[in-house]
Amino acid sequence: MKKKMTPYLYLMPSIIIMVLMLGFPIIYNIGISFLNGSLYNENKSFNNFQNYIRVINDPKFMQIIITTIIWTVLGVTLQMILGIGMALFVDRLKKGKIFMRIILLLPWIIPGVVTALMWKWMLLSDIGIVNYILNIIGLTDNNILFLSNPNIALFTLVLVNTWKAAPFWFLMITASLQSKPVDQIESATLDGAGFGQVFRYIILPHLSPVIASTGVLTTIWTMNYFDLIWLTTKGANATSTLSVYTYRLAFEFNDFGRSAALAVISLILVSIVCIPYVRKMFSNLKYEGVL
Amino acid sequence: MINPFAQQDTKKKTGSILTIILISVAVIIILFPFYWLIVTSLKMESEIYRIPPSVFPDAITFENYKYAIFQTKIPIYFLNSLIYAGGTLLVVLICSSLAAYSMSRFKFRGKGIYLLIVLLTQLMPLTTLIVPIYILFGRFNLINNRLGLIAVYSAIQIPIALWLLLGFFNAIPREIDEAARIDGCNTLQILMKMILPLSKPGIVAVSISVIISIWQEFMLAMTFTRTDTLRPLMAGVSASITKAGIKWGQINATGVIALIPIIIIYLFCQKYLIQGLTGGAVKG
Repeated sequence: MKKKMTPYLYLMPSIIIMVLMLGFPIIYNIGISFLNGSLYNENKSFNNFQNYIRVINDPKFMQIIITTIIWTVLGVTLQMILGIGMALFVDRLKKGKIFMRIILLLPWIIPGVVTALMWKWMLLSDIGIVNYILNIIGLTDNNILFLSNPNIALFTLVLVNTWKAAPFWFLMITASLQSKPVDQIESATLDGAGFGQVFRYIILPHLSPVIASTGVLTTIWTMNYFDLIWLTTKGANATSTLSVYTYRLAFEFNDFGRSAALAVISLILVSIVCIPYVRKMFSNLKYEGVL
Repeated sequence: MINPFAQQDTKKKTGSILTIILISVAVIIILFPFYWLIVTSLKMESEIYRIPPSVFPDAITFENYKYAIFQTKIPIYFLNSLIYAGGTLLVVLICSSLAAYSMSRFKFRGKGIYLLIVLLTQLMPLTTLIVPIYILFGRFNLINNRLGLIAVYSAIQIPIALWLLLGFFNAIPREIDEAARIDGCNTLQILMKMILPLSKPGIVAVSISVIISIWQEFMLAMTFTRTDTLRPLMAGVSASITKAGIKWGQINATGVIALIPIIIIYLFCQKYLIQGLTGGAVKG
């Protein structure tokens, strides 16, 4: 009897904290999403999915979904292309690999708050250095309103986030390239294959599992990412994603019911994206003999 | 793209020139924001707002740092960040090493479900938690309370830490447990005397991961702290960059101060930092 309890005893402390601080709040959140009333309303009651209906009928809802999709899909695509490109490029360098790695990873390890601060300062339309540089090079005549023009702001932020997140792709791909099939590449090269063919038929298949798992991970991280948007535009100028709008509903409009409903919707969306990743992690664990 | 397998010399030459250009562009794009942050923090107020901006400062001044350190609450915020990071680290290390040990060494029912939940919590958007926790904390007087914030931080960090440690514990051969058992150790002693000392790199990676994550976090911090005496650094910095009339010189100096611990850890414990930040996805 005692032996059977042992593993559960070891799990207890973590379970208690996670249930109190994660499990219960999530269930509570689902509860709030079905109730009317704001934070201070004592007599809460079921309101026939009014919170959900109001969220979905909100004219901003579609805009927020579209913004979230652009932010996530465009962002992850750029991160992936640049990250893989940098990794392949640095991998082929003869000198300075380690130096390049240290530099290329810098944007990714710094706090989001500092990233936001740096770029907000550089992107100021009147005295920002970026407009000044673009003017000198001759790319633009007028000052671009990077963060206050609703047509541009989202794309500006996607680029800033790419600056910050592409290094993660670089890191993952670099790690995978350490075990690339060198013999195959050599013999293919001797047979006259160009780099394009070697990449297409040998390197890409080798990288594809890492690309898949990194893809899921960065999709979720990008979708949930709050810091940069909040600190630069607070979601104004058509840059509100699901997570930013969920926060605004609660803490700017004090509409906790609607915020909770939107949170449940994003939770469902995230879960759909996660399924393949979770499956893969589980099959890895089975392979390692943990499960 | 450059053809790495080009035979001709001319091609090789254009290739290496292209390489140099590409590397320089990448390095400039990555490093320039850091340069600009530091340079701005060292400029006089009048020079900061000058048009056209000066790429190299006319005169270097430490006024912005003096102001940030002596006239603002930055030192208190800094200290608070350390307290939150330390408190969370203590809770996370205890809980996650016990849990990872159980996961790694025992077979029992419900293991799969526990791991599934651990994985899912890592992927969950924090914004789903913030409303319910805010309401619950309001009830139990935990808003603007160190324990409240440390508890949430711990809950968020435990799954990541557990996942990381699990990898390290699994790499330790079971024969070592067996030998210790024969010597009369019980399971807790095996963990304390064998597994933990053997997974020192894992403990270091987890510690760095927790410290850095807590150091960087600002959404929960700005929501759950109300007074300067309890506010951590990132919440303090974020409050001053979202309000109107930003003093760019001082805020850039604050940014540099906030970066210092991270850069130090990065330069000296790069391997562990990367392991921690990737949640064990990369075995650096």
